[in-house]
Amino acid sequence: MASRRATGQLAGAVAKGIMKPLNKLIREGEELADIAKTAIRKQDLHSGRPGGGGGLFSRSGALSNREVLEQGVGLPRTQETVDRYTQLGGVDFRGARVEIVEKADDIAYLDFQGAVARTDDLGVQLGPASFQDEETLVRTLGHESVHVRQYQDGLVSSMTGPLEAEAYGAEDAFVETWRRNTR
Amino acid sequence: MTVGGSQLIVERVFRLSSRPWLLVTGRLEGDPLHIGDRIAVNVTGQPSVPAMIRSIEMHNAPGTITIAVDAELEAVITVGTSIVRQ
Repeated sequence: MASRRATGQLAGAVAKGIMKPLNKLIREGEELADIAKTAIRKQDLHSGRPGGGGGLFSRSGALSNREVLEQGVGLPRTQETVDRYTQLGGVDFRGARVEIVEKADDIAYLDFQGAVARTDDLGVQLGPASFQDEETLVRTLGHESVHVRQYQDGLVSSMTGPLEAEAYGAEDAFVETWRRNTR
Repeated sequence: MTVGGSQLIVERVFRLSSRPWLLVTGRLEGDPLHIGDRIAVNVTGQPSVPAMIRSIEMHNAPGTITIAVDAELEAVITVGTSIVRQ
């Protein structure tokens, strides 16, 4: 019969043997989760709702408007920032007003809709989550500029799918322009 | 819902800080709505209230749409209100 010490050593060795493959699986699982988060975020930049939907717009892993506001993270939420990235991204708002919103009602609305920004006939409203990083801001500015044109051209109805598809489809070109201008 | 018409059942109502509207979110049955459409807000036990769609939101929670109407309608539009296109 083995001594207590030998039994303990044996148990330790067994545990170590079991944990080795488990640790590998855990690491791989974490990597997969990170990849999934990135993919979701890239697909759905205009959503501020963690895990939500919104047509646009669910993007688990990205920050909501409330989170950006409360955590004080991201780019400076100023008109200068907006002007700079509008220029770098080659975004044309066709004279529409672009406003930064941070009031409680605005934040609650955007987060309910799972959006980082919104546009209507009166202009563009950027929530705090638009400013969470450079690429998000460029994508948001480009995306909303498409909506500005859609409103000006009288194309908006409750059938938003094709309009959203057009705005999403335009985002990459704005990002490429921004990258080209910042090299 | 009228045949060939549209009905929106209100689920949430919002105000924004710099817009003169009430934003009304709900489930739409029937035909799509457009900016400028004339609508009627059905108020239980009272005549319906005429209104107009001032704007339509592009970004919505799943399965819902959001329309903007004059802010004065805040007193009559609540959760469960039926809005129909005239």
